[in-house]
Amino acid sequence: MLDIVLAIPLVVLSWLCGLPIFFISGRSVAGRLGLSFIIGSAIATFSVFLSYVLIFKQFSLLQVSLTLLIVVTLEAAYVFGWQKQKLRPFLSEILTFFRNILSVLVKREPKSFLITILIVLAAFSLISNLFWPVSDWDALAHYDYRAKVIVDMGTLSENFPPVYFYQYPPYTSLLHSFTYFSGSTSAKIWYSLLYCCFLISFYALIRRSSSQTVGLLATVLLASSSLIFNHSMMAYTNLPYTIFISLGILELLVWFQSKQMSYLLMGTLLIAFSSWIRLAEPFWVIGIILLLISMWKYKDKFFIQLLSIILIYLMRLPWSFYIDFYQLIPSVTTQLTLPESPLTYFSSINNLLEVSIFFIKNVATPYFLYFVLMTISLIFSIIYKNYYSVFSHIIAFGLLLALFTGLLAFSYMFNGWKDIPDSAIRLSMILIPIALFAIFDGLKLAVSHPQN
Amino acid sequence: MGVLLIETVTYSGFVLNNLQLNLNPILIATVATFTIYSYYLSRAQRKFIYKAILTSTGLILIIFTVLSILERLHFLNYIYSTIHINLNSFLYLVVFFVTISIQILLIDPDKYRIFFFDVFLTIRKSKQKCLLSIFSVILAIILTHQLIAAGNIIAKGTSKVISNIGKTSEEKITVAFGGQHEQGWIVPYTSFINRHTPEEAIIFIPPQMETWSMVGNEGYLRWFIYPRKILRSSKVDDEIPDSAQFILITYGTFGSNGEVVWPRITIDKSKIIKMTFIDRNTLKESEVTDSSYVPNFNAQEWGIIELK
Repeated sequence: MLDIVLAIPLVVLSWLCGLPIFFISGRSVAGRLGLSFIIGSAIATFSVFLSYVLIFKQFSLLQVSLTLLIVVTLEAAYVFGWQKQKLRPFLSEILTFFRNILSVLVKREPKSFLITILIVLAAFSLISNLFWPVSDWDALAHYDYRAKVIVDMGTLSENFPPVYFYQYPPYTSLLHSFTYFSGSTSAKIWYSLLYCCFLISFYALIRRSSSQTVGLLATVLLASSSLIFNHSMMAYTNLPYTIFISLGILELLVWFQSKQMSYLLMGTLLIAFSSWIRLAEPFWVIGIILLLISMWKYKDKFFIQLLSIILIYLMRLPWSFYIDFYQLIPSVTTQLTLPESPLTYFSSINNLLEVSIFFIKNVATPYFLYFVLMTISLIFSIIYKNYYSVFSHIIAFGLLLALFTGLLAFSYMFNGWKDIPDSAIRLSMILIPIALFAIFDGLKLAVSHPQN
Repeated sequence: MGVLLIETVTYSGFVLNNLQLNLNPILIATVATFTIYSYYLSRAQRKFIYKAILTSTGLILIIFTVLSILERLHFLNYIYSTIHINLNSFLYLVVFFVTISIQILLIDPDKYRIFFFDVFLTIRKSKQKCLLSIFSVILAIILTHQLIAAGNIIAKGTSKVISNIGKTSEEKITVAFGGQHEQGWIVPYTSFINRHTPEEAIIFIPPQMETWSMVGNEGYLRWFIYPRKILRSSKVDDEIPDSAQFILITYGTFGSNGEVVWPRITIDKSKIIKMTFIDRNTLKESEVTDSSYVPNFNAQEWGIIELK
């Protein structure tokens, strides 16, 4: 019990780092609540990293607390001072949100059943993470070890720098260190909180254009997905990365449909911060492609979208610069050199066949039924001329192609690529929320305006 | 359902072996048939059947959860040996009922109207109706499998938490790795190393291979013995580096296939201050001084050598 109490202050401070997001107009309480924690955690860890590099040169409880307090104070001053937002509506909106959940729970409706499932899944994830300490292999070998060094030595240098590990910026390590600095041992609590906020944010996106029950149904499908549910109880970077990149892509898809600035802003921040979690994965490029397409569609918002592209790219630099500046190892980007010509990927038929079989077995087969649902919803999107939904489907299938191409490129760079099917499966987690969004987006017009 | 009940009180695969029937297509076909058949029932009949199925589903889920927790708290096949119910096959029954229930929630025209039935009434094009039917059946199957899998994790996880309440953090990690006699041995073994070496120690460890994939994995072992420094050997019979202050004595912690016993070289007593051993079964420690280290393939030895 004491463990939980000790962890609360820095968790709350990290959430408050996302305070301005809660006051964005035109968004539901659920969306703002979920996103404020997710982005808040990224702002918190990034601020602490910057204050370590530029000012303090040493991690400590004082450095972490002071940095977070300053960030929260500045944001609160902006929100409640210059923006004149009121504190009372902020608190009453949160209370109303939870009161609504309770009121649905007591009714005997399918919605109550669906909410109960979500509460059970989230509660188990939380209890499991509070009870069991970090014990996952990669977490002990790297993420949690780095947190230990941060807490004990106050630095980001380690006993020896395996090249492989430096493609992971210290987002999760810093979250763990927040917990350890406060005297708690429940470092995995962050993954449950991110998981819950992921579900809330996803529900808000689906709910935009669907009924409450359909939104909850889609969220239950996401929450109960084996990969995502299991990873909510593992101290790996895969789930946080999936959350940031998939929500980012979905926010940008909604921006593309609605031209609402808040979706552009959130999508940009989420995709930009995804590089603060994992640097080597290429999925941020999908965000850039989406923005380039929407720049062509919304020419009056050209410069703001250009700024978004620049921000997404810039966010990839701090960690690379840090490693280069302190000469920890050669730059990560030069370590992962691609073949000179793209045609090299396809010149070796043998390699292409091997990768295809590996991909079908480990990535395509587990999601086969999802692809069938996507195909049906795509057909309905075309029948009912829901072209935005067709675009969502193209992005989802494009993501699949990106996964395959990424795997093919990796097979040229690393001889032991076949020995790590688990890695490919974990990476494919990003498909689930995007596929579900495309599926339910595709059916919405069929449900509301059926053709006779 | 009769087929599933037979499977529940016999063994997994009974129906396939004796009646040559695969359960998966039966499950899908039954759900699809039920979907179509329910459209032709009267409202009263539908109401009665749906209520009966939903109530049965609730009861079966509760029974399955309780039986799973009891199984976990006792031993494998406890339920089968006590009341002759095969839990793996019972799971199929659970899957069947949950899938049917989800289909009811998706298509019940009288009460729930979640999604598809309104569309069904208005869509006259049979191809679109067919597509929506396939969609709802697949959705129900995905949801069922995911919820069952999640339920399984929750049931097993809950009983694991209950049976480990009150344990220390170190004991919990040992349990998480499978226990002291499995890979969890890494936890008490490294605690022993930490007790017998100073924090600034430099420890020579085996190569990262076969049974030494944990203790020979520099990136992994360092979490357990931090902030001690590590020197890793590249071959099984490497010479001891001059800077090494301690050497692990390890049989192997990652399974039992492959190379075991390390170090493989004899170390003369003139180089050794003392050797401290730990018994894997009893955790009893013993100290040996004024003796050389000779690799012993007849015993599973664990310990640490302090060098001069």
